[in-house]
Amino acid sequence: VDGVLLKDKFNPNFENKGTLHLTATHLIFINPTANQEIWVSYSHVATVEKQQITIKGSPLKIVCKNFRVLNFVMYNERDCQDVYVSIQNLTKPEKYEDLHAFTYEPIGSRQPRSEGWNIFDFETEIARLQVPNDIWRKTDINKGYKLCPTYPEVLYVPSTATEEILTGSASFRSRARLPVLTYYYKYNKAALCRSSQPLTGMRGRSVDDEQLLQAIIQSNPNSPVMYIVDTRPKINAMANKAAGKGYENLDNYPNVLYRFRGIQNIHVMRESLQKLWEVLENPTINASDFFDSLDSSGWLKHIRSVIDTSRFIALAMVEDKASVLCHCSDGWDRTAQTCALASLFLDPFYRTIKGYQILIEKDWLAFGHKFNNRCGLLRGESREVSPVFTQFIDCTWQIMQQIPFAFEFNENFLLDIHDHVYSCQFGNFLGNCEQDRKKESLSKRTYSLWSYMSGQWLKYLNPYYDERYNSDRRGMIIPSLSPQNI
Amino acid sequence: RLLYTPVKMEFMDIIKTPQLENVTLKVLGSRKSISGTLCLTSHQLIFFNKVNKKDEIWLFISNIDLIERKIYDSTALISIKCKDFRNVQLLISDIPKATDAFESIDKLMKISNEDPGKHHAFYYNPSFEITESGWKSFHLESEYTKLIAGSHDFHVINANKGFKICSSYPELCLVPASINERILSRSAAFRYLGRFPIISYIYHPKKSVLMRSSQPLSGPHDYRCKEDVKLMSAAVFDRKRCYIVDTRSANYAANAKSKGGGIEPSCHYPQWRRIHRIIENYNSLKDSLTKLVEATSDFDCSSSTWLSRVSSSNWLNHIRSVLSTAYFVVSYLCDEGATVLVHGNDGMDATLQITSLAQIMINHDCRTIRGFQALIEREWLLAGHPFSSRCSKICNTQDNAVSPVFLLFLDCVWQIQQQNPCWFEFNE
Repeated sequence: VDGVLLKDKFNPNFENKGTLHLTATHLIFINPTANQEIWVSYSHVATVEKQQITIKGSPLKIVCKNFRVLNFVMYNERDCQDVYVSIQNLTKPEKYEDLHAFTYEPIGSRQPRSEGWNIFDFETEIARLQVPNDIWRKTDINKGYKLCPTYPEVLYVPSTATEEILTGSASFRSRARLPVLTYYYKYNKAALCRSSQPLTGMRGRSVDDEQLLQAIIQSNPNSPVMYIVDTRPKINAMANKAAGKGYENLDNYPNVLYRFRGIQNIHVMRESLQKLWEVLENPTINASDFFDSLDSSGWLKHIRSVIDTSRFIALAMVEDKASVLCHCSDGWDRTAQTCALASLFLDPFYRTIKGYQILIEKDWLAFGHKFNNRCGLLRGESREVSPVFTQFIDCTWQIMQQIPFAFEFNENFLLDIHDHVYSCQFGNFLGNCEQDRKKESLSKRTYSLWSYMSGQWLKYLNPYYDERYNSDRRGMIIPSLSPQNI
Repeated sequence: RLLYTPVKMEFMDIIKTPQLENVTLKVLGSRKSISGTLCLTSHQLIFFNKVNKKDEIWLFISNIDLIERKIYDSTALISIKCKDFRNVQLLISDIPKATDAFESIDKLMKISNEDPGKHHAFYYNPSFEITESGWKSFHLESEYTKLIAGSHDFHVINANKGFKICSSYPELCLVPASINERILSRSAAFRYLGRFPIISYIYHPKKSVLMRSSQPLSGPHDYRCKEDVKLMSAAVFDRKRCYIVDTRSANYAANAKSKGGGIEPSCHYPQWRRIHRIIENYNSLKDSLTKLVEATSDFDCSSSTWLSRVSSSNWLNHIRSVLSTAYFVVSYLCDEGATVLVHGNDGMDATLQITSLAQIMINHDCRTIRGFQALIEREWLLAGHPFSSRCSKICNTQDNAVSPVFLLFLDCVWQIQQQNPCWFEFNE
């Protein structure tokens, strides 16, 4: 479509006229006189809205998942309608093959598709963490994803836990997501495990699950107790109990300290982001309304609660030398955020470029955060969409602002990752769990984001990085929670 | 290691206790307290720990905004608020010595108020190697030559020799070519504090000029000064549009008029269109900053409280109004090609913020390190911003002449940097 006007948010008088092209994978706006080319992947489009006709023409507003907003005005109403309908159809693909990742070919480099798919191997990571293999063992009980379809195939459990105990525990946990090892703090022998909520409301108790937790406690000689960090507000956990699930009954779990941490659920987070967006979208807002609206969106409060819980977990492992089991409801949202962040605080490796990628591979991809559903990559339930991963990126950024010396990477690194989660140009984030990705043979049919990023290493380097930062505290960082710092 | 020659004789009497042992120091915001020795010299407070070399803190006495002393049962607490917003607390168990130290510091703080010659700048011995004399780095004449860029429509005259026409302007003035000393002298007599319209910047592509001044002394009877009119018209080329940007509200200006100052009456200045772009008077900035600093020192408040305190401090609103006015001036100069005169009452505060920010937006040279330094020389130091009065303290004072006008300007530059980080040669 020719003669399309792209409105400038801050300068309504600025005329930017060009041509809008619709290809199979992208929307492209080209203004040859201004030497401008804007590419928008259909996967990035969150909503497209036809607005009321004005004297200038028919406006079309495109809002993207990476927070870009494009306001086009088309002279011809028929063109506008056509574009609107086309975009609508193109942005809600039914199956994975419709996504850009399957047709994307990187320009220039002749790297094979397989490059960058194997950066994470659980066994290698466990060895790096120096997990003692007489105390923790690898189990292939989940081979073929038979025990837990949303977990990785390789799991690590206490060596005293038998197959029977594992099976029993899995049947007592929501979605069979039983407590398994995700991080190990070798200096204190404290383990960080993750799971989902127990089915206390329905089943009452499970001796197997109790024994599994005892095994975790015993695997740590430095502490007679362990923590269970329930990231939910207590009320939500109790409501879950009424619905058949709930939280651990401490009568059956001796030597366990229970803590509720009050991070809100995915629906609250989705609304919070929506309100935040409205604030940021409004260039004429005055300063006091800005602060009021920012506050009432609650976004920064939620960020703070995630960082707070992660900090709690890290401090429990370092100061109390205790192992921690972290769960929320299904153990794939808040659990992923807090386990990943807590590991980031404790282990400087995860603050390097490679390490952060591995952290995402482990706690988000392997452990089954539902990227497809949460990011709306395919046509699906809008109630499943929630900015959980966005919050994790934001939390990482907050800590980078506070302690810039501790990170090998910079803001561009985080922004590119976030952008490509939604762009579907690479196969890494397609699907909801490891099993999905293996089934679709993504590593053979699409390119990996990590190989693309390794070609632009320099773009992501942080000039303030100090490898030996806090080396007297083993590289641990503890962020501040004061509101001035978030 | 000492940056000063040892305590001068005139300060010896004031410092009763040059050294105190067993002092505990806490910097507000950090979690740890350090114990060590406190040293008092003629111009500095030095705190060090003999064991741990890293825990050393140096504080210039002239950097202290407020010092307070509280005595508990067996300890004295001296709290020091610095002008760079650091907040330091000293716990001293030897109460008489603490009292001596407090009184000495208090006297040392006041010394340079009474005798400017005792300011630490006169005693400073730099530890770095001097590769160029900063006093000779920026010649006003070459700066003006750069601005004129070879055009024959402007010239530099030594009209203000001996500062006899205007005590707060430089001796050399950049004015349109048709203007001579006599015109300037008459115009100065018609302007508050003698601050006649002087050229800040020339936008050559559109032949538009940015000028600044103080308010005209037209008074309630609309007095006319034909030289002032001539001076202003000389900067308007090709019969283009011209604007007067008044940083006061229409009411405030009317009030000033009744007291002998006021606005350029349109009957005498028919070409000129006046726009009021209200920038709050410098008096309110100090309170605004005080509120903001208070908000930042409460680490335990909730995020809602923090945001509402930031909001009610109004600091960001000040930034916004200054930046938007500067932007308007830039669009008049560059888009419309109109000549602009900016003034308020004195033309010493908001006016300078506007003209310097406008130049930063238009002229890429001002975004280089040397160019920015030159800008400060031209638009702040030589333009007569009363640094001594405005910056003698930062917040903790009743003195109404104190105001963080320059700090606001720096914050505005920082804001532009945040939005356009690749535009600037210098960093934070």
